[in-house]
Amino acid sequence: MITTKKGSQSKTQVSFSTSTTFDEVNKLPGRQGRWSQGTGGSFAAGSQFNWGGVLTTPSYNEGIMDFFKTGMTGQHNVAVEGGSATSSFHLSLGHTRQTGIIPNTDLVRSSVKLTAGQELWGKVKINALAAYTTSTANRGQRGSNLSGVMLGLMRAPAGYDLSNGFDDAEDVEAAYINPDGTQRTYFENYDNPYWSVNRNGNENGVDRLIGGLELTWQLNEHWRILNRTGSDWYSDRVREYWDKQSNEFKDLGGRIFIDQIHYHSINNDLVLAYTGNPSSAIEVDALAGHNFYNTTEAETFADGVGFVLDDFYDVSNVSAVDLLVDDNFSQERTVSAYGNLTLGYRKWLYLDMTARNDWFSTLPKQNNSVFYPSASAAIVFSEFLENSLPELGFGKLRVSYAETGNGAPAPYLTAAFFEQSGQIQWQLVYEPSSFVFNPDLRPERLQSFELGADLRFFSGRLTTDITWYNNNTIDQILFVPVPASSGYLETVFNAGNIRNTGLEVVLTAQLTRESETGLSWSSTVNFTRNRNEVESLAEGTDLIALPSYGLASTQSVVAVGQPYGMLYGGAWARDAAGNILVDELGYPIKDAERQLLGNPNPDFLAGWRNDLRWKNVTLTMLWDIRAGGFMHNGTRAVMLYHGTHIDTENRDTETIVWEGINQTTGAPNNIPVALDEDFYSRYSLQYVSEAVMEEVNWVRLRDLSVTYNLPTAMCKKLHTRNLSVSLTSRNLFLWTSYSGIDPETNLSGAANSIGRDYFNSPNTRSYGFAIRASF
Amino acid sequence: MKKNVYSLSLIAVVLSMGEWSCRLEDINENPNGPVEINVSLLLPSAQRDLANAICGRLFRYHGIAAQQLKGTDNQELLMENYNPDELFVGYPWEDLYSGPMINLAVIRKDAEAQQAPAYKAVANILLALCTGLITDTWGDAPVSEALQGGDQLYPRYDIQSDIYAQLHAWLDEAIVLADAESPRTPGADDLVYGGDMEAWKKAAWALKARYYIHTTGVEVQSASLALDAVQQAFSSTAGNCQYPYSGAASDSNPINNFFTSSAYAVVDPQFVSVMGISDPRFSHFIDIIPFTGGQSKVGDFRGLAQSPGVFIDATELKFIEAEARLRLGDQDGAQAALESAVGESCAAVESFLGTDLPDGDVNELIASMTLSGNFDQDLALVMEQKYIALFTSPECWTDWRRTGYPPLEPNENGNSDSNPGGEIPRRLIYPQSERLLNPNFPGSVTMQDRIWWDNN
Repeated sequence: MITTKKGSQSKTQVSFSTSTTFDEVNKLPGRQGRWSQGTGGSFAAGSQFNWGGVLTTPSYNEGIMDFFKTGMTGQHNVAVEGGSATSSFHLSLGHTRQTGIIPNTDLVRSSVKLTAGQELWGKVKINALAAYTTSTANRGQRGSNLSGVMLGLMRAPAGYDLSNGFDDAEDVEAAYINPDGTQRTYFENYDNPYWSVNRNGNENGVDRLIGGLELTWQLNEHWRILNRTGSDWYSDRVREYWDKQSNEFKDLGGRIFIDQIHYHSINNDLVLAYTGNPSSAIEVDALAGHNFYNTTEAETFADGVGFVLDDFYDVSNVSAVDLLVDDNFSQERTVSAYGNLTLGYRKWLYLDMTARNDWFSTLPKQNNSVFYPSASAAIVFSEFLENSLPELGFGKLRVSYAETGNGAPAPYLTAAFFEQSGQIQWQLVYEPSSFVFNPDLRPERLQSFELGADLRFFSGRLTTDITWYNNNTIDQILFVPVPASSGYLETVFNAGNIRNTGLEVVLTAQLTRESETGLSWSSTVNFTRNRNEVESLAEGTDLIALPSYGLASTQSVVAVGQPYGMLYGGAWARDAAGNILVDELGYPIKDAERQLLGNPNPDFLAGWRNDLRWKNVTLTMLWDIRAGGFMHNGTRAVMLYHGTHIDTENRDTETIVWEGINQTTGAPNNIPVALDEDFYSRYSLQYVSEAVMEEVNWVRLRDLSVTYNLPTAMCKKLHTRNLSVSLTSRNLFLWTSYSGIDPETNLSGAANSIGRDYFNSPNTRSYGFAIRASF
Repeated sequence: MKKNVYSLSLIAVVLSMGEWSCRLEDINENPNGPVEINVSLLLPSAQRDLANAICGRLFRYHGIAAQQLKGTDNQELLMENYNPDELFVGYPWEDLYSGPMINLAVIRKDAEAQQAPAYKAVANILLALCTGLITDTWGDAPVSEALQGGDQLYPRYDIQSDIYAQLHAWLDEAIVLADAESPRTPGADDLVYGGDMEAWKKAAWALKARYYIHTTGVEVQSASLALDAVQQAFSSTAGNCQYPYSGAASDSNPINNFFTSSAYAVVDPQFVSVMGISDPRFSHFIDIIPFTGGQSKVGDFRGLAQSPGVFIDATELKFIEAEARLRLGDQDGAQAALESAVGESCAAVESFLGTDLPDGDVNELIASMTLSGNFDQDLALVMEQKYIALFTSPECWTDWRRTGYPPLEPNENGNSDSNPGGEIPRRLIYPQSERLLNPNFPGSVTMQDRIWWDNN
């Protein structure tokens, strides 16, 4: 689809904008600064724990925070647009350069985009688009990875100077390399973050070309034929490596991973459309169309272990026997036929009906076709009120029912094959894929019912849009684990019926108008609330664990009767009445089986936006609110276990009497236990996920910006049409109930596993300025 | 005319789109992997995956249960506290079922059609070995309906006595097939014996000896059957059934990898004291890391990158012989077998490392192996020596459970929901994936519930 801005048909205009933004870490977990590395109350160099004696040296906690830099983003754009009565064009050039808060991370991106349109013989219109982007990025190791920088930072002893006394330690080898060439770190299994940002890499480069061509042939007053083609081509070159001394793959002598992806998609619509008024009361819009959508992805990758030379991260630097090289080609195609009929009656009744049939290549032949209709009606009831309700200027009610169908999320899920798995002692070997193929997959279907109202009061001073919806996903296609005793690990099923019910309300008030007070102030409140329930799963299944990338101790699951993505993990053992069982020493007992722990989805989200304008100054302020939902604070669990978390600072004095009952007597527990090394290393606590479930609420000032527009007279003097200067900020203020980093985070980045934080990289607070001008 | 051109081109476009639509099922044919495969391409990965499973997580769970390792962090610390996580105990289970076992099941299924009964013989033997590890670790387990993929995603559990009968049946079939005419036989793809079917036949007998000796507590004939099997098995280290790791980065022993990288366990001081530092093998079995409070790792005999992944070796067979003869009342024979077993253990160290242990110390060690005539005392001596000699083998925990020797002290704080009472575990709990996903899962157990052969 071409959805970009087309050039306007006026005289040539040039616009220019530049902005500079500074990013800094907005929130980090608290660390204790009283106790030394070691165990059992005594200092031990090289220990992974921090249960030593009272720290006799200064704490380096502040220096640890200095690891993060102030990131900087510069963005520069130039655009030219112009045209005539029958043609238009728009050309833009952009360049972005960003340095990250993690040392040695950056992103550079340049882009050029041209949109042009021309009318031919008064009947045929051509619009064309070409957009090219090139970017390179160095991302650094993050998350659940023994070389991840947050992991190395948050587990570091307060008394250990990671920087070895150097400023800008990431640039000084003596900070992270010992004189004998080994890595300088506080515990042999975790990387010094300064080592990590120099000796481990995560780089990629993308070149992308998006093209589009749209031809419209106006046959006569009512009929037109339109063909629209969109093409997306990109290559992505990924290189990831870990030095032979880096801990993530120290046992393999380091690792390098190269992935080259060439992707292409083509999306074509051919549409025959009719617009007309068969009578003065009726408007008709109708169309019949055909869609063709094809994607191909060709991938070549190499995965090698055991670097031969030091500090040379190249595929040529591993032995051929330790290198797996493979290629993959995948293709998906969807073909559709569709029709749409929109009827308008006397400007107060609108009916819209669609019918569509899709054929999916990803489904087996007997199930690859799915037909789905939709219908909606809207009534502008304010047309009938005449003057009986003068406050209401406009009122519309709408109701709709729609079905959609989806194919499988990936190709080749329907038939088994063998996978090459590299060489063993120069023998090429294969293994059966660990995935059980499903030759009976069916399309998944979404049925949605929606009611809405659009009401505008007091000549548009107050408007409100309310939507209530009920969506049922039927036969949802899920990747699900299977018992390993079948010989396989995963399969794909039409497993779930999932219901989403929600309410969305948007209220906008024009509090004052410029014409009345000189100040224009509009304020918008929006509120979103979604309720989600898994109604059923495949027969015989009550609970399915979703793939749990990055952290095994807490899983995301789909469980009957529960919201999608419930968190599941180690829990305290309880009796039938729900009381925690406590042993004879006063310690709670860990349940042998994992339990459901909490719903990661928020109760509601809300936003409050204010746009103010006074003379030449505008101010925009957006507040963002989240209420409820749980996050597993895996970072805190591990920091407690290691004794680096702020909550272990008063380990010598703090005790707790666990609310629960004695496991044998059933009497309420009254034995105090110390919150010390014995407690935190007991289970180990990091595997009792329940102990670190935290509710996530926040209020944040998402955006605050002030813009000054130069008066027209001044612009004229400067030979500009417009000129504005802005001060911008993002996340300037954050209040949250969550004790770790800014909780707007997700471990694996996958929508399937929200609510897990395990040494996730911190978020940022940003501020900067921008200049915009047009000529 | 102009209109006709438009109409014709429009028709052509529509027709070509129709043609695209009809080729959808061809598009979904996977070009990336073969659908059928020669069994010889599955054998090397089956062998190495099996060695990786044994020397990987299985070694750590068994080692901690048998007090040969002491867990200090992560999964190993959970096991040290007899409080393993039900998800993590699924990893060694998966390492076997969805690793070597599914490869071996495919080899067994396809071997006959590919005129390769010799491959089926090898697959039978290795599958018996895998299945033995599964049942000795977890007890009842899916066997007869296992490894069938989409044909049976939810296999029924077999009881352990039936599983043992199946192990012997597979091995008996392998012994017959090893002698059968086989148009295709393994060669360089057989990284264990290089296609030597006589050697495989002896390995089958070796495993039969192992499984018979496991069942002396529940089946009367076991000791004599074990002795008979030992005599048809290989008799020296040269015939060991083991995977020869090359030591390359992608082909090194997981015991080495574990101690090179995130070593979340050390050699248990209890094992150190049972073995004793005067044992001539000591410094090759255990590598004491200096200045870290006596923490230690597995030494160069079993802990190098190129240390073999042992499936069953001659030392174990000689200990089985000693135990069988002792149980059959042949004290002289038992004495000779015990001496030979300890001697074989020392010789294995010498031949792998290419170094000589001090002759005097070895002779002194062998000379100290004196049976008294008191059955319990003698069994204790044999089992203690086997426990030392088979350091890192999964047999050590199995032997302790069946005989109670050597006497071991449970870890502190071992009383957990999974292990009520806190004694040394007698099995692992079942994996979470079976509890949640397999409707035929028979129900949870604790680590104190005994398995069929464990009636000591």
